[in-house]
Amino acid sequence: MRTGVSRKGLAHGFNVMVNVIKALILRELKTRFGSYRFGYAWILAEPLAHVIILSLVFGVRGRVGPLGIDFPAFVATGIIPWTLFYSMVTRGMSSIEANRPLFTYRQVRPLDALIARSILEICIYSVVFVVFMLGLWAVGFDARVKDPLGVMFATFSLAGFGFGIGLIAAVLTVPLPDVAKIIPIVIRPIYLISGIFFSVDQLPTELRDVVLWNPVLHALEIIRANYFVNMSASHGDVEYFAWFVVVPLVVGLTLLTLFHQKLIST
Amino acid sequence: MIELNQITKSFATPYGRKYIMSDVTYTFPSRMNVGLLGRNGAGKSTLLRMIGGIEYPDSGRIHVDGSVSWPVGITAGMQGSLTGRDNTRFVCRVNGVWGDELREKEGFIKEFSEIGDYFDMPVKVYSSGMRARLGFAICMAFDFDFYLIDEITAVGDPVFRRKSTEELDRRRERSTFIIASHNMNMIREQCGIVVLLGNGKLKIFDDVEEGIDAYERQ
Repeated sequence: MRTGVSRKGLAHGFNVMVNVIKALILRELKTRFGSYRFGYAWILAEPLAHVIILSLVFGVRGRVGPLGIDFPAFVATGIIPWTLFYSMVTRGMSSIEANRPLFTYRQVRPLDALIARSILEICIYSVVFVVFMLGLWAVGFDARVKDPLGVMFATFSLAGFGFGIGLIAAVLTVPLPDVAKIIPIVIRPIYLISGIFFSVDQLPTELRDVVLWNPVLHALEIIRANYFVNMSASHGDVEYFAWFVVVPLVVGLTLLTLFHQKLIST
Repeated sequence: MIELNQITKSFATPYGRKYIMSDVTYTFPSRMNVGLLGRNGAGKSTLLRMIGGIEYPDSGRIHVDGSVSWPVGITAGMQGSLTGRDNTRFVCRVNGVWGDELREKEGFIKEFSEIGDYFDMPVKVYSSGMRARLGFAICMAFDFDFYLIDEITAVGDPVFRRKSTEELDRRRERSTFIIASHNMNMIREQCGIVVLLGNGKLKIFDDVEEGIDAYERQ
């Protein structure tokens, strides 16, 4: 068979998709970091700097935070997953528009562009997470993990929520460019009520019920419950959060199918 | 074989819907290069994109028997901030070419495009002729039954034009070229048939000269 032309069979289709996603990731690395002097070092430096600055501002070194957890460790387990979520939404949102010229090659589909970016974000922030927690531990904070797999799973689920929202936004920005402006305005303030700097336990009961609608808060509570030994009583509701992973994904994929033709045309 | 079956295609404009094709049925002959003529905006690129599977008709079906290239145009599919080499690699990888085979194609493309050291410079510093040469070279690195060429052959310098003509001749046995061009010499030399687009209709001329005449009188 000739290279990359026919579209026979599911296995072949999957193969093409893997090739395209790999090619897009390599290309994204080049376009984002390839032209800088320190090149690929920026991949980690950028999010690391962000997290360090925020923990310095809010973390007041050495102070003991909620539930006797070292505050920098508490903040880090909030900020890093949050930043992953936020960049999944914002980078995902622009992925279709940014890769539009590449749809000239019909193997490249809008979803591939989104998946490639998402894989890259997840890899970057996973490494940042590990490096940062090891750093805290090296400096003398208590950053021991209770259940690494649980933390991983919960973090990836939060990324999945971000993926769904990013997907919906990416499709909607094509007919409605204003969506790209609105999404960050809506999502940024959620930062303050997601329990990055506080634990739900510290809040008065009336306030708890208000913030507990926020799915990101649930995800962070679940992540921390898996991370810290002394945080067993979590407010994170796995079932509630699961809906926020599944529903946006289904809605997003449906929209993608409906608007496919519009998305690839120039 | 490329079959257009009752194809209607229109675009929404602020002045109402503009039809570039209405209920067009036509089968392109195999093994005969096609010259696609029409004024700017007549829908040549759109037709090529539809055949290439990256644009869809409002109604009707397009059936392609065999492998089709992507539409090779001057700007399509290239990222200005990346080098010619990186753009080349991307196209190869997307087409499932990795490792040694990729290096081999890379070598062919660098050589064929004759852009020399520019191959490792960002595409945004290229002249339009160089872009066209690179785009054409990348496409020539792959074997297709149908090549879709969009206004690209007229851009290169005479040396490159001769080279691409030779390449087209060499592939005549195996492949069919569909060439949108305003360069009548190119059409005369390469094509056995002329398809003229205009006013939502497709007119076929088995006699190339007649087709060119009709185009020039349009």
